[in-house]
Amino acid sequence: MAIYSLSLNTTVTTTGAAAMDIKASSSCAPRIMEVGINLAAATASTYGLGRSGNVPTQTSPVILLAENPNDPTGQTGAAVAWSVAPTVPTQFFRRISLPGTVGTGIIWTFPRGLILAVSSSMLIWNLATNSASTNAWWVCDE
Amino acid sequence: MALYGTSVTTIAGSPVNHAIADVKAPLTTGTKLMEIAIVNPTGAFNILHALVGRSTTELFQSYANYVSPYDASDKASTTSVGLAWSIAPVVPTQFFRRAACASQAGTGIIWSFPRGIAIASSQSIVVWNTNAGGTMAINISVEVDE
Repeated sequence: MAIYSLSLNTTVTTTGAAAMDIKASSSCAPRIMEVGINLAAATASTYGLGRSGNVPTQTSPVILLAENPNDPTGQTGAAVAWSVAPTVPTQFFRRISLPGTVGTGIIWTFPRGLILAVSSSMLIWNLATNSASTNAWWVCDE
Repeated sequence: MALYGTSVTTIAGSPVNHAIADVKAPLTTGTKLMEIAIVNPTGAFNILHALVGRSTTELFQSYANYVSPYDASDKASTTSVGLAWSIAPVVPTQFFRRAACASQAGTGIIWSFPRGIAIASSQSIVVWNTNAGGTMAINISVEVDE
């Protein structure tokens, strides 16, 4: 198993919508080891981390980067836009409310990994009208 | 494998969309970046947007700040942190981590990489700034496993 990670910036502010997701390929079920969120705009924001209620279709997904360049190309992709939007998770693994201060954030770690089934998505979900510029990163073990 | 680290202060006034530091592996061996910390020491104007990504080209540091061994009996390392280059670094295609740090003294972030981000020989991981207003001097600390 190898470690892959990626950070993107999302500008999705809409409450009740996904800010970012990662989606497993059809042949690989990665373990999510870490998720980080960092506000780049001073807006109080509330996020939830949970499995998508549907199988969304990502627009221009970016494949997670191998932390060792000798490892094979990653299979898990992250996106901030979708042609088929994610639907709300039934429950959330984690929730966080952040004050309206640039630089605030959270890092969630999962020592045994949060397993993402093949072709499924994990979401960073807007539980409020959130920051117009949010950095987030994912670390996966494929 | 042995652990090494160093802490530097970047050059103030770096322009937008420019590297502010790089961690370069030695000529003949790779290294693994285990941790990087970025801290705003003065709280001067402007918000720092720090991004950590893999350089697509070999960088030539104007001055090499070599990392020091955590165990003094370990051999000297030639992994180095650069703050200026003879040829300006090119922006990475994607970034492993990104964060904004408020314009307040003491704000920052520490990213750790339990298995390390592998850096091939003579290649670099760069800390990239996308702040539109230029940056104050930033404290950057790194830990590598070589």
